Amino acid sequence: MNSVPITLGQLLELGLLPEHEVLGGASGLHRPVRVVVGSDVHEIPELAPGSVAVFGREQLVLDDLAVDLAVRLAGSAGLSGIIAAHPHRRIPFVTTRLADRLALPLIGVPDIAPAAVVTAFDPYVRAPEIAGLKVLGEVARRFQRPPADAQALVSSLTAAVGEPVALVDAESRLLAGDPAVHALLDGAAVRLGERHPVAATTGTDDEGLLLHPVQADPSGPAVCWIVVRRPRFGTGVLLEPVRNAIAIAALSFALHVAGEAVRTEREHRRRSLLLNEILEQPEELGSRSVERATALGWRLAGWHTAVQVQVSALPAAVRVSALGSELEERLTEHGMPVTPVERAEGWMFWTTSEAAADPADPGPLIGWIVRTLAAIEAEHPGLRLCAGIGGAHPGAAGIGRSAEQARQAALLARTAHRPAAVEHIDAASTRRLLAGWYGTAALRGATAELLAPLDAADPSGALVRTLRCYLDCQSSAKAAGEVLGIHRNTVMQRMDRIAELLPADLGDPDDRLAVHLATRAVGVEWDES
Amino acid sequence: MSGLRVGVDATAAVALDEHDRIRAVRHGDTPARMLEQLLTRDIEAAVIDRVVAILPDPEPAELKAGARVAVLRIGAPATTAIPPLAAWPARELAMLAGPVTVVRGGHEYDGRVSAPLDLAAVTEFAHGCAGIAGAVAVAGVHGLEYPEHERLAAALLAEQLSVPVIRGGETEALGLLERENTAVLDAAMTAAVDARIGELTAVLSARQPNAELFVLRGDGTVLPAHRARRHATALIGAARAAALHGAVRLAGTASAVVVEARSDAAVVGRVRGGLLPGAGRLREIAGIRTGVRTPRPVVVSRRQAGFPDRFGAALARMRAGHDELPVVVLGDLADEIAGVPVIRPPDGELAAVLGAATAEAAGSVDRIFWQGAGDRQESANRARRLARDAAVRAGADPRTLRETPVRAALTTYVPVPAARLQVTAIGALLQPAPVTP
Repeated sequence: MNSVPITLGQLLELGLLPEHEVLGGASGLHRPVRVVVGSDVHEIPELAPGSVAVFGREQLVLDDLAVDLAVRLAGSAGLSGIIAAHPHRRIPFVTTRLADRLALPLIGVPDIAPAAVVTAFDPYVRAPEIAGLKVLGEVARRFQRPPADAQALVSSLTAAVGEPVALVDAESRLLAGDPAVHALLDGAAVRLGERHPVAATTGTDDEGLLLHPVQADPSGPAVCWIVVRRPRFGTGVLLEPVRNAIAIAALSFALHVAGEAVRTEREHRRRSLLLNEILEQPEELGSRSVERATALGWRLAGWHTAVQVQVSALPAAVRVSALGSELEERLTEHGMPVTPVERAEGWMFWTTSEAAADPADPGPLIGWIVRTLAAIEAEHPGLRLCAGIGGAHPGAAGIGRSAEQARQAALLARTAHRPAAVEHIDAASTRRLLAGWYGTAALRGATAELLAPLDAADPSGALVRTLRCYLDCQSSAKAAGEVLGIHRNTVMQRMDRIAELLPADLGDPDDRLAVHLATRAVGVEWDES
Repeated sequence: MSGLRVGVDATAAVALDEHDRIRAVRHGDTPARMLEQLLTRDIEAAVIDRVVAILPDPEPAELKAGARVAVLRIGAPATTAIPPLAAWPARELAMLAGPVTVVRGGHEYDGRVSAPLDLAAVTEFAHGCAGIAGAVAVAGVHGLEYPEHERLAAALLAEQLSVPVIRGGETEALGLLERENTAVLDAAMTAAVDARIGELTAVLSARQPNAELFVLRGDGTVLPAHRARRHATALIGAARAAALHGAVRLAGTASAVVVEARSDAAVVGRVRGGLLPGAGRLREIAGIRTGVRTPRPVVVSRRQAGFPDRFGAALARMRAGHDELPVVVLGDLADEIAGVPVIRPPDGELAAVLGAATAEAAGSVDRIFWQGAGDRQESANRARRLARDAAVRAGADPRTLRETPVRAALTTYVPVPAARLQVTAIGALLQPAPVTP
């Protein structure tokens, strides 16, 4: 005999009594059930406390006069519930109230065969743990193969556990499943971004949640979390198997995630190799490479405009590998069905037009890219992206030419220090001159030396930012203060201090130009390769 | 563990704890307001298990203001000799009578259907009642033992008309006329009782929604409020019965002869094992024969000459054969009881509300059992079970039930084996058990 008896509430949750309705006495659903027996109204006083009495239609219908009698007899005998045929009419209010007062659950079912109910309930009353094992077995069977996607995971787990399920990412965004469960997550104090995530159980009864991390790397942070509403009567012997069942599902889904990652990785590498070939030997492309490029939807003929996207600030919670796919999805959403290819500096893609385009005018492309980058940044707080756009160039060799310009433009964009910065290499642009300058590591190193005393005096970088802003604003302390959100006097004070620290004289036009360039280049992680 | 019990009547409200100790008393307001004050000021934090109310006996004026009652008798062609409401006083008849009809149906003494229930006629009757009748009384021949036709007709009427439908079979009385008359009076007074119960229910649902409301019957036992509203006649005499029960409780005993002395009269009664001895006679209300069998203690008027003699005779009659019972005296009555040892409990003025707060629930059976198929023992068992069921439905805890012996009267004047059996079951009220998971 087990030590923790099952309750009528738990038995009903098992779904063994289809279409049942709790008509009254719901607070008694927590009473332990010792035995479930078929009964007659006048046998009730002889039943043992903790019994659940089941009546056939001949013995009792829940709207006849005998119900009050049955409820009172059952309350006196310490029964844990009455199950009987559901009335055709509404059950009288006084009966409901009596059942409530005596905390005696009154369960109505449309069609009742007492023997069948007793047989169905009996095993679970004798050994409640088998109810949990049933769930566990069902989940183990369903998740022998990893689910095809998040949706499949959610629907399979929902069916097996019988509770709503949601899949959320490490930043608590709903990926799939029940929005109501996702909403419950708000109140739960669980930190999903933990470096070493552990399964958690929150709240009590129907407001609680069971959470389990999905980890692609067993020692890494959670890729996402499986969130399941806590079964209403899930305590003790019933809850543990459900937790284990969710763990199995999480493991199975982790396999799916890892498999996806490997597949994507392989695909990216193949694209990357192909792109290298195009960039390096555009004139000697083999027929097989041309064929593969065509299969990917890459066009080699026509006029090409290349774009390079780079990451300028990366918060810990964001994985670079996931950003590639997100970029591709977002670009497609914003009307650019392209396949970004991972490069050392970031991602590269290009658009192609039939006619000779104006190399200086990228058209609506800039707007699209800005919107795309802004949308991605909005999803990940702290993330900064920038992009450069090359000029339009014809033929397979034009891809490489435009790509090089895009790379230079991206360097410029990095120096802009603003969200979703996008720069276009314009043939006549002064920025192109700057791109050449920024591209020379030795010159950059020399000018960076100029700012070294400021960094030493103020590691927070406030002095450098103030200086840059002041020079950007044509030496206006007022304008710089407005941009930085500080008072002009503060700007003036900082400028006095900067003038003391700098090994250069801001009154001298040459010095001043060198210092301005240095402030633009500082704080950017230059890729020296 | 158990909560407080409250008794309330027109003069006072009292709350008792589980040891019957008085926790709070209120006087001098309407029952609803006294209850409200008791719950909000005196025992605010405590849990109230139940409230037992003593409603005042209905005034003739209330009968006058009562609903017009439609009467459906099921019994043609067997029972048409005396039509419904035939022997009623003209005044009451004029006040209360709505549409009246007799339809085919009913059972024989042995359960055979004497005529199938004429459902079409019942439906037609219902149409005729719409907008006229404020309540309906239904009574069927042999409807006590075989209530199917009454129930069918009542269900049909309740569906068609949204007014109370009272069945004769709800009153444990032998004769069809008595059951029918009781049902008519009950139906007429439903609204008046509803109004009184409603005031108390409103207070309870606001302050103590889990407390159960009971109403005291004329024998000093309780009915759940939702059933009391259908049995106004059964509530008559509750105040006096409560005072007798309360006096016995105050004296700390279960059985006693009680003398309640008032300025105008002395009331002499007896309580034994929680029951008042039956009067053995049916009560007439406003000159109408009913099936109500409430006990009536002897009332000796002080206004007439020779009070001491008449009082002495009444007391001697009440004590005859019960010499062992103590005599409990409420009020000031010294000389006339000289020579008899008496108990004069304190708090005598609260006897009625205390009697209500400590009241029990009972069920009685008094009918003729046809012994065609089974033997006498079987009939007795059935009578006892019916009485026990009635007591439980009135609110008694089945575990505490005790019974009077089954009194049998052979009905030798009928040509079949039959016996009139009388039995009463009574017990303490059922208290909810705590949920311990």
